[in-house]
Amino acid sequence: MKGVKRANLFAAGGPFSGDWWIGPLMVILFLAVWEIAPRLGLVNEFFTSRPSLLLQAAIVDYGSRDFWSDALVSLVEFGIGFGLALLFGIPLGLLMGSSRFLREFFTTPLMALYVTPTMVLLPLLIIWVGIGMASRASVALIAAIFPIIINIVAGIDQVEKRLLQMAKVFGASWLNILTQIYIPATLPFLLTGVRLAIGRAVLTVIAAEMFVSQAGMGFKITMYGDSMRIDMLLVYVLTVSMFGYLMTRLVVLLEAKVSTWKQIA
Amino acid sequence: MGIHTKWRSLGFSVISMASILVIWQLIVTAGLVNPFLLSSPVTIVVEMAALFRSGDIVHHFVASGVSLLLAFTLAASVGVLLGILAGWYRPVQKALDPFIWFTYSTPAVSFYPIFVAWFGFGRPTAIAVAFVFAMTPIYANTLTGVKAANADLTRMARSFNAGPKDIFINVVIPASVPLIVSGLQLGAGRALTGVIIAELFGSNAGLGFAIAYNAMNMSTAKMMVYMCLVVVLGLILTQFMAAMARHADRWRS
Repeated sequence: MKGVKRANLFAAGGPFSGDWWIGPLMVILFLAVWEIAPRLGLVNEFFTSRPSLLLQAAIVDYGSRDFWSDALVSLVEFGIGFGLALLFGIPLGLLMGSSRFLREFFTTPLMALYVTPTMVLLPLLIIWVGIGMASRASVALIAAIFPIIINIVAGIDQVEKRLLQMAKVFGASWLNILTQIYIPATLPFLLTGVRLAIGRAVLTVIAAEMFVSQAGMGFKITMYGDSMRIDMLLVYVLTVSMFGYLMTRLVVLLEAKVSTWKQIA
Repeated sequence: MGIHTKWRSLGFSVISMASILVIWQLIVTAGLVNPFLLSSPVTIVVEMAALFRSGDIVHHFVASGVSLLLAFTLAASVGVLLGILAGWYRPVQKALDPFIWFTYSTPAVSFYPIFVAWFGFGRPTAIAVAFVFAMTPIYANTLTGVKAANADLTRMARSFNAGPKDIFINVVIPASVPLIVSGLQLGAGRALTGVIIAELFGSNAGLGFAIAYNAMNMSTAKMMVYMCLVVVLGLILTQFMAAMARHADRWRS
């Protein structure tokens, strides 16, 4: 989506400047209210659970083999979908970015698919490849590939035409231009695409597992939801959040590294 | 150059969509894929006309549209309001930070079972999922916009003897509009995703529900009609939001 400015949530201020304690304090307050309100009977514990129950559930879950096998199923689906999105998305993006014809030809269908919630394709994919892991990995692949392609194309778009002309004048080959100009210039854009792709892939894997599966984090979330075990459910939700958060954080760190590296070069 | 490029890219998108449809039709007509796996564009159009006459399409389209509108309005008001507050008062930002990080990195659908228990099946849950999903980018963009405007322009306005209220209304708000509008654009897309996914899981009306229902009945053609309608809804939404962004830009200058 060209022209859309995205605020970087993680860049705002240093995390340990003067008033860093307000955030943790609010979390503690929130947890305290959440623990005390059900005990006083202000809200029904059945619907909200309590942090202490959550802690007990977490200890049980993290110690059980079941939990880790479900986590592994989701991780494999995420890994296959996201990995294939990188594998196909990067060359496709470079190809589309470097050819004006391909770019103009595929922009509209690409945008139409980008704005469509990828999950609607899941029923169709289930008919095609079955209700197994393949359908969930492929829907994650589709969800993740578009931000990667679109950001690489946007990255190539901002390469200066003069730089290309100069390279051609000096007799640079197509491969030279690709490795010396396009790839370094698009790296920051690729990382932005990757960051968006992670969020989309995690969401899609979990949603797809909730829709149809017999294993995985999403499956357990639905299962515990149906039996109203909010404590167990939240342990799974929190684990997924932590995974998404750490992955995103990693890419943000890489982005910072790349931007300083670009300034030095 | 402007007009010329515009027609050129319009021409390209018409040609590309048309050729994709023709190839798709030829593949199905030639019998290369089982029509149960993929309906042809002609079949989809015929089916769409029938569903339109029966009123089904209008029913589901309106159902999704109403949920989307409610969720987006709610997300936009809360997101912009909190974003402005947090951008203006730093302690508010610090207090909200951990909760925003949590909602940002959690797939909103995973709250679906809890929301069903809290709000009931169907529309309220769809709205709640879409709200949580759409609110974060709106908040984050508003916050960034207000903070950026705050730093740059406030110093200047203050040196012209403007009070905090004047600065806020006449300087900070207009200066942060582009980022707020971008946030609303992102939020609208995410609200659509939230509504459709929640409807897929379980509802009694809406495009997502119609897709899941027809998938269960193995009627591929009908299912694909509703998939195409989701794409159409997505395109309408993006075009509308882009028009709004241009409008906001004009108003500002």
